[in-house]
Parts: sequence; structure tokens; C-alpha cells
Amino acid sequence: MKVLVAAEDSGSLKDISFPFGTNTSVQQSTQPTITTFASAGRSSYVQRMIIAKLSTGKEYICIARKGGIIQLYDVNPPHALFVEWKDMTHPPDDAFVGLEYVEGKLSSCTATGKLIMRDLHSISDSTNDYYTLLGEPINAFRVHPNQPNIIAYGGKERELEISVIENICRRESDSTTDSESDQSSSWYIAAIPTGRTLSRRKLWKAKNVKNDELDLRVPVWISDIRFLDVNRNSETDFRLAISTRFGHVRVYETKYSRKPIVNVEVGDHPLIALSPYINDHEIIYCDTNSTTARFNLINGCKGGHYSGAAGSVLCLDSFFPQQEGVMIEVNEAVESSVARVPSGDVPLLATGGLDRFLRVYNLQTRELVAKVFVGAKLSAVCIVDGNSTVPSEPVSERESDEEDDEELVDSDRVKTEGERKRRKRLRTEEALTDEVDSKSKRKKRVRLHDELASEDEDEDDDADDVWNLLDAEEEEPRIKKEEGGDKVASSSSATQSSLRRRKHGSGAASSR
Amino acid sequence: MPSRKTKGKKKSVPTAPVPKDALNNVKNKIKRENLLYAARKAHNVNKHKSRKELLKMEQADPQLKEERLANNIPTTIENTRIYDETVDAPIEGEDEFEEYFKNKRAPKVLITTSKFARAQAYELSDQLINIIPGSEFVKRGQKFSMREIAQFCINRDYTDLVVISEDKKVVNGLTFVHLPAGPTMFFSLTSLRMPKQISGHGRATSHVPELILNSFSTRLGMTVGRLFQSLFPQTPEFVGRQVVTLHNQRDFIFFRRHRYLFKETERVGLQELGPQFTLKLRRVRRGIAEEMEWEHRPEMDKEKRKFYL
Repeated sequence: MKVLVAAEDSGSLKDISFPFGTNTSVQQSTQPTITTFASAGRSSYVQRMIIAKLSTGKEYICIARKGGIIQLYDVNPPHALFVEWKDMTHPPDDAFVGLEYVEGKLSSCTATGKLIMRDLHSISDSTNDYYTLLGEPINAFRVHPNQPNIIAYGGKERELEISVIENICRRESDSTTDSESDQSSSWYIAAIPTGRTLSRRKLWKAKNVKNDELDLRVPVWISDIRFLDVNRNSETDFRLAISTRFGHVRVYETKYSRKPIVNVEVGDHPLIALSPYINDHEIIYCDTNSTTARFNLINGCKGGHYSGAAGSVLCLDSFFPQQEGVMIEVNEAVESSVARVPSGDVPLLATGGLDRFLRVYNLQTRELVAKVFVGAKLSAVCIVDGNSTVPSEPVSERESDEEDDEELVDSDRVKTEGERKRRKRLRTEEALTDEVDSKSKRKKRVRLHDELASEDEDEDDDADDVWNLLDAEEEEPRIKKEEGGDKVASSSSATQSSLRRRKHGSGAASSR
Repeated sequence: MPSRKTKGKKKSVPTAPVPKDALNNVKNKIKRENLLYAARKAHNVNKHKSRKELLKMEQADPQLKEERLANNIPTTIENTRIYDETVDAPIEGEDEFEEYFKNKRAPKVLITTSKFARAQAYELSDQLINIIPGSEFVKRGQKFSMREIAQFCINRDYTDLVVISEDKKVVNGLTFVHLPAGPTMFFSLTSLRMPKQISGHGRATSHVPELILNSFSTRLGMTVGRLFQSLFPQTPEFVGRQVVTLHNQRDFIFFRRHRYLFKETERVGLQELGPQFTLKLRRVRRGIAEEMEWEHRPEMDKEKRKFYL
């Protein structure tokens, strides 16, 4: 799999490729390939990072740096800088609190409330950016994942607000034929007669919860916002989850109430970020005390921890395979070329933070899938490829056809010890129960018999383990060698991933 | 002891050690004791003999001794330490101590105590003022929280804030806040011995001491080491011959202060100045006590060969 992380200490981005089961804390484990690029120093570290797919079909890393710089880098190596915009914040030390890409519109929002939207379908146009002021202070900002004109924001002593940007309009289905540039997106920024200011209309504003048991006002400090049930497609009916710096998770149903329908204090420590889960009634949060956990928004119960982090987790990224992804399910109105199509089989969660480790979990089982020491504090993380193997250069069809099933099994790198043991046992049992008496089979049988006899000589229960360990020791260097010289994986893994891709029939992923 | 006497009379010492099973089969207790005694003696005699032979051989051929010493590496907890990929990892980019290391900003340290501190905390603060050059002590009032005090210190260009925690008349912790942007580190403090309690202690002078930081090897350890380093000016006054040592062993940091003395060309004399205490890192927080960067948890003590500094 491939994950992009932003290092806070050096202000750089890192492209990390590794198979499942990678753990840098284990010396014998497979080691990741880390490529560092776009270093700019700690003074302009990456505050927000997302991946955007343009109408041309190319994917870009969008980053918002401290100091008001927004950059687009190519996702694929050698990660060339595509475009850069400077002075996107009003005071230079203003922080980015949101960077969103929906339907070709890139929106960035700063802590002082300056929202800048630009259409990435016409990047070459320099007067392409439009702005509006949301007012101070803003700590959390989101754009509706399906409707680029709906924004939600909130902050310290600032209740959650939903506004609509009136200049962003949905294109009528007939008119798409005559426009040339924006064929892929059904949304466009309407011509603004008065300069480049977007006109904003407030749709809804939350109300604070009731006073506490001592009849004291509950303070407000929103730290993150997530839209839930994004397929509703209405301008009045939204479901949102927010986290607060006072440890609350709240759910708002705008149609019913201005007060939250769920309000639970999940812990004593401030919450930092929220991340979507595969279904809409659960959400993932992280706090300042190294807790990352799943939270059920319906019954208000914790669904278990994603454990292991020694320090506070600062950034989360959920990853859903295309088939099961409910949250990022592509809207019917949108053509597939705009939406990002991630490849992979299992839903994943990547976390990074102050302990300088990147951890990848299985989103559902909460098992640690991979752990990588990055060397710098992580300020943003983004899963690019969720396959269990190392991503490779695209391989030709002919090559992949030649591979047979047996090799597919062998190329599976993420064999755990137990699995290997089980597989070996199965193989011997198969061979022994086989009654066919052909010559080749007999030979094989004799060989197996010898092996078994040699194991019996030891008369020790642990003998089997010792053999397996030896097996493992023999296999490890082979894997390392494959990993070593070349940055991309060997042909066996490449063919495997290509096979897997073909199985799922996701044609868009074949470009990688 | 009749058995010993009979043993002494016999004088016959078995040359080979007696196997243990053979002793078990002897049913008479006295005889068994005799046999065991004889076996032990034989073992000792053999040991001394073989050592003498080895000595002779090694005197004849010194290379043998070198080889033996090179091969004889005892297993210790330190050298069987669990693999840690962050050991000696290069420091990437910049950290909060960049101002001290790159721009040579002179340290300015404020020392205070926890609220309602008692005598021992003040005694230790006296010592710390003495140890850290250019530090000053301010008595802690009840009015302000640590966060507020840190802000006052930032306004007055302090680079570090040290808070001595005391509980039930015993000093039990030290908090270091690096200013203006953190990190904040809390250490528990044990085994405090004031100079008075150290026999033969010397009297410290006001020279800037030299600093020895031992085995802060992991990435976290380096951060801790850099914090201690940034408390002291970068130019020690060698005239004072004073050394402050912070020695990390198995995650315990031992603080010692000595004066060295060259009596002869071969060896150096040390005079301890005191105080002595032991620190253990409990938590590191970013900024002024904000997000947790690292926290010691009880389950970290389960594996005794795993170290974090």
C-alpha cells in the first residue's frame, strides 16, 4: 500500500510504500520504502493535505502550508510541483483549518475565517479564485462531500453554522454539451459581477446545549466537523457530527432541531479530529491523550480503541475500498472521472501524530496492519493505495497471464508465522493422503517422508517451531533483496496486484 | 564435625568430579556428606589447576588472552535490549530547541516550586540555582497557574521554566518547560541526597560547568538530552573543573556533580559536589502542557529489556 504523510519537523512530504504486516520495530520484518520530497522547513510545514483528481484524470496532492501557501504536487513519483498559490492567508501566520476538494472546487479556510474557493478545472486562469469572509475564529471547516456550495464551520465560542455559497450552481443537464472545459463536473462557479467575492447565505445555526447540572453555560469549541448521510441531496436537511475541545461528540439533525440530537462526553481530553467509518452511525475520533477510538452515534457507546499510539494522534485518514464505501459513494449526478477511485480490499485507518509513527489499522477489526517509523512528527496523512502489497508500475497483460495460481500464493508476502505453519501442515497432509501411485507422486512422497523423518528424529515438541523459524529466516532475506535495490516491488507482487485489480474490475486504477 | 575429620585423615582427593546421581544413591547421610565434600574440593582443585595452566599459556602467548577476552562478552540487560529503530535515528528538520543550538540563544531559567512548598523544595531550588548558571528563583504564590506563569516568563524572555514538585514535605518531581513553544517534560524525582549528606563533598563554585549526557540514544532520548543541554550555556568555564553528569541507564537518569583534579598524568581525581538525585521521565507534552507527545504507562514496565530513552 502507499501512504502520503506530511512531516512537521522538516515541512516535507513523504511517500511511504509498504506491504501489509510491515513493522519497523521488528528488525526482521519487511521495511518500507520512504521517499521524501517538497521540503520547505518547519516554518512552512503542511497543515492540511488531500488528494484531488482533476477532470484530466490525473491525481494531485493538494497541500496547504503554514504561511499561506497552497501547492499541488503530482501523486506519482517523481512528485513534480504542478502549481502553487501564495498569500492565501491574510496575516501570514494564520493557520489553515480546512482544505477541501469537491466537484473540482478547491476550498481553503483559515483560522481568521477567510474562505477561498477556486475551480481546478481551469487552473491556468489566474483570476480563478473567489473568496468570502466567514468571521473569526474558525477551528473547523468542511464542505459537503456531494454539494460544493454547502459549507459547515465552527470554532472557539462559535456555534456550528451551515451556509450556502450562492455563486456555485448546479449545471442543467442540457447545458453541459456546449461548455468545453467543465464537462466532468456538474457544478460551476457562476459569473460574479462584483469583483471576486462570493455571496454567502446562512442556512442554519446550531444552539448551545442546555446548561449543566450546576446551571453553568457549557463552553463551545468545535474542533472538527463531518457530514453524515451525504446522499440526502437537500438544502435543508443535513446530518452532521462534530467533536469539541471539551471532549464532546455531538450529532446535529438540521431538519429537527438546532440542538444536538446526540451529545456525549467521550473523554476528559480535548478531541482533535473526526474521521468517517464505513457506516454512517459510527465515527472515529482522536484526542490529545493518544486515544483513537470508534464511537457509535446512535447509542452513544465507544466501539473500541485503535491502540498502540504512544503520543497524541493529530491526523486521521479513513480509507474505503470502492465496493463497500458508503461515505464516499459517488453521486449519480457526478461522472466517475471526478471522483477518486481508491483501490484496495479492506477498509483502513491511517493515523499519525506526535510519536513519529505512521500506523495503519484495519478499520473494522481494529487490528494494526502496519507500523512505520517516519522520523518526524506527522501533521497530515493520506492513504493513496490500499492494496495489501507494494504498489508497482503498471504491468502488461501478457505478463500477468503467464502467472499461475501457485505463484500467486507464493508471492503473498504477508504470511504470518501461524499461517505459514498451517499451510505447511496442510501441504504434508495432502501429500500423505494422496493415493495416486504415479512416479512423480511417489518421488514427492519420498521427499516428504524424508522431511518428516528428519523432524521425528528430534523427538521434541518444539522441533516444528524450530523448522518454521529456520524457514522464516531463509525467506526473509529473499524478501529484503526484492525490496532493496528497486523502489517498486518485484514482478510477482506486481502481477498479484494487477490480478486483484482485474478481479474487481476497477479499470480506473490500472493507471498506477 | 566428625565427617570433616575423617575426610582430612584420608587425604585422598578424587580427581574427577563425582556425578550427582551417584551421591543420591548413597543412603548413609555421613558418607554422602563426605562424598559431596570430596566432590566439591575436587571441583575447586581442578578449577585452580586449569586457571594456572591458562595463565601460563596466556603468559607465553598474549594473543590467547586477547582472544579470550574478546570472546567473553557477558549477557547484560543493556546488550540484550529489544530492538528500537529510533536509536541513533538522525534528527530530521528542526525542533523546538533550534533557537539554542543554531542561533546560540543564551539560556535564562526561572526556578519555582509547586504551591505550598515546604523546606526540602526550597533546599533543592537553592541547589538548582547553584547548578544552572544564570537561573533565578521566584517564590510560588497561590494566584497563578503554571500556564500563566509560563506566559509571564515568555513575556520576560525566559528560555526555560523549572518547577519543583513537592508532596508531603518530600520533593517528588521536576517539570521542565522549554519556552516559548514547549515541550513540557515531567520527571519523577527519587533518591535525593543533598551535599551535606555526601561524605567528602566539595564546595561548588559559580563557574559554568561542563555537561556530560550519557546514552540518550532514541529519538525521545535525544529530545530529553537536548532539553537538558539547552539549560546550560554553551561555553563551559574549564577553570572551574566542574562537571554536571546526567547518566541515563535503563531509563533512569542519574544526576551527579563533580570537580575533577589532575593529581598525576595517568589518573584523575574526582570530588563529588552534590546533590545527587535520580529522574525518570513520566511524560512529554507539546507546547505548554498541551497534546501528549509521550507518556510512561505501567504496561511499559512489563518488558524489562525495552527502553525508551
